[in-house]
Amino acid sequence: MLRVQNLSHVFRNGSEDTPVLKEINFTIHKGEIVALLGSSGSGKSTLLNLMAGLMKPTEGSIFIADQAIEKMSENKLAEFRRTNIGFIFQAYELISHMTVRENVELPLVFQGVKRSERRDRAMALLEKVGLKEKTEMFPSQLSGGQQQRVSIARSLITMPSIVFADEPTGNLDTKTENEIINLLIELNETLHITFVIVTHEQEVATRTKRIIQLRDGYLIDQTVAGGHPA
Amino acid sequence: MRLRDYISIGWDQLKRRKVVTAMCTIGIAIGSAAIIVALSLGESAQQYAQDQVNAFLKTDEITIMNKASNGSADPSTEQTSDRDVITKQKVDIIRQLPHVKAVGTYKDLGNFPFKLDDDKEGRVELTATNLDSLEAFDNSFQQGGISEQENTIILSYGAMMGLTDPVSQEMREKQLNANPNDESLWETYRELGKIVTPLYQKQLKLQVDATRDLNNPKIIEIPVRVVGVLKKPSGVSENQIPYMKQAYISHELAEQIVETMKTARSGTDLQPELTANFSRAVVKVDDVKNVQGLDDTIKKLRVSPQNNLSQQDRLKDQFAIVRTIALGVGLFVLFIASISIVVAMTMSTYQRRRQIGIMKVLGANLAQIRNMFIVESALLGLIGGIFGILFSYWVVWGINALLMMTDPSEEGSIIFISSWILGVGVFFAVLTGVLSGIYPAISASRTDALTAIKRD
Repeated sequence: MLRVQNLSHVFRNGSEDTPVLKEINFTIHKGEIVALLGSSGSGKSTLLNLMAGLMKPTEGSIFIADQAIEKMSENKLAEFRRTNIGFIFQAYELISHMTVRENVELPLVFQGVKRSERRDRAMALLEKVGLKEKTEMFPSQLSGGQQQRVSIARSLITMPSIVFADEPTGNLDTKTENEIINLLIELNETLHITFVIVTHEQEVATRTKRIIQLRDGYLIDQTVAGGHPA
Repeated sequence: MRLRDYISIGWDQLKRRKVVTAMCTIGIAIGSAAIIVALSLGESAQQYAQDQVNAFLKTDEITIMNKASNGSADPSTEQTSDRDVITKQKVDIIRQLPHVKAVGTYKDLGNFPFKLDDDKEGRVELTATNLDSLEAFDNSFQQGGISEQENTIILSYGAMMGLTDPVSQEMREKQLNANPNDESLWETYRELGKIVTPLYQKQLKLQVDATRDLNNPKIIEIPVRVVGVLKKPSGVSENQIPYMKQAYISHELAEQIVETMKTARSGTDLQPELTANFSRAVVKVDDVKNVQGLDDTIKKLRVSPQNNLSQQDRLKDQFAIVRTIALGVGLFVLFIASISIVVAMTMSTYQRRRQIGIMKVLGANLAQIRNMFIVESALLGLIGGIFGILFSYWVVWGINALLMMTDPSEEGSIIFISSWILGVGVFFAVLTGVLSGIYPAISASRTDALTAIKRD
């Protein structure tokens, strides 16, 4: 599903080069739920951005569904993301003037899907994430956990091959954090969509099936975790 | 991405930024209204001038002069050569031609004095014509109309003005001769000339001098009844009307007058000045654009038609320049207005960088982001254009009200807005929106998604 091959990345600031990722190699199979664990500055967010095609690596390759995304043009990448990649942000990143349903529908708007079909698919997903009654509300009327559920529904609306979640519980309390992780594990099991969760919390990582651990830009460990709901 | 979604997203953005949208709309509305008003002024002025030219030069008419009108040929008899002679048959053929509204045949009989029963006197320029064509030649009746009766006459409004009895006339002439530099006397004389004597259904006696001998005149009186009075001609000042003393009679009555004169002058050296045939025929065409074609067709009848199209073409050239200048002024205003859109949309791009970043992460490509901004600014242009139409109607209404105040004789609206001008106004408004949106749209589409969504 996802193959990272000899990946290195350097941030250039004038004449000064700062290496952030060094010779990273790993593979994530279809339907897996994997945690990318690391402390601040370990390079995990950079790796996520590279895998999502938001940055180009200095060296190495990233294959998603057997396609090398680092070679794609910006437009091609946009189209690739549109159909193959879902994204869950730490701060939800919902569009404030759109309703919950409109936010969830948005990726389908870029695909040119008909309004009625968009509506049906969004309603079904919102029901799945437990927000059936909140569809016409605006994000500001929801709690943090509810907003993250909207963000999760939006990431799944296109039925992507892989979903990247960037610190999805970073802004939530422990109870809500558990609920969100449970939801992600449930969706992974029911929809068989691959999830990559970036986190700095060991507790969150242990909930997934596999942990890829980074430190100072190096991949230091790949371990099998529990992967069972708490 | 569907057009409906672009419009929906664009409209949503405009609604959210009401003040900015209102300011930009005002700017475009002014520019668009400037174009609409400027073009309308140009077109209306051209139409007005054209109507005036039509009224005076009669560009929708073709005049055919009759070579036989001076008695040198008689169209009623067969001739070896009928070039430049208008015969009744030719007139009948012309009447049947396409685009012919009416054919009027005229014979100018000259200036005739007339008397009323109460001894008041006046003078008219007498013209024989087929009276039923009068209305087709831009005349309309103030009183009465065509009559089946014999010995009838139709007068212009001016023919009823300034009638006076001989004693008063003589007295006034004496006063004027005695004080030729007295301006107040002349003013009184001019004012008397404007006094109207109602003549409708009155009998007047045309005075025909059979001898042309001033010392021993032999006046024959021909009684006629006034069955119609024409309205004052439009576009003519009140001061000119008393001098426009036209009178129309039928060709049959004209023949009787000629016969009367022939009889009165028989045995003298005098030849009758009048002949029974007409001096010219005038063809009224349904549209000015058909005049030249009809003119060419009429030429095939071995006559020499004349029209005034060349005058109109010159006028069109002059107004094309006026219209171009007006369009230029409107476009300049719209250009100024477009700056407000560029500023507003560029501001909007920066305010919405985060949103653009999220959209890009969710799969929006460069073209989609660009199109979103262009559609939004096009919508802004469209709204501005619609308000521009309303604004231009308001301005034109004001100009018309002002024109009517300065010249109350004008009937209806002088300045009008054609539908094609509305289209042009909206087109330029939308075009301004689209062109103004291009730079902000490109700028938005180049927003780096990662930088845009990064939180400090």
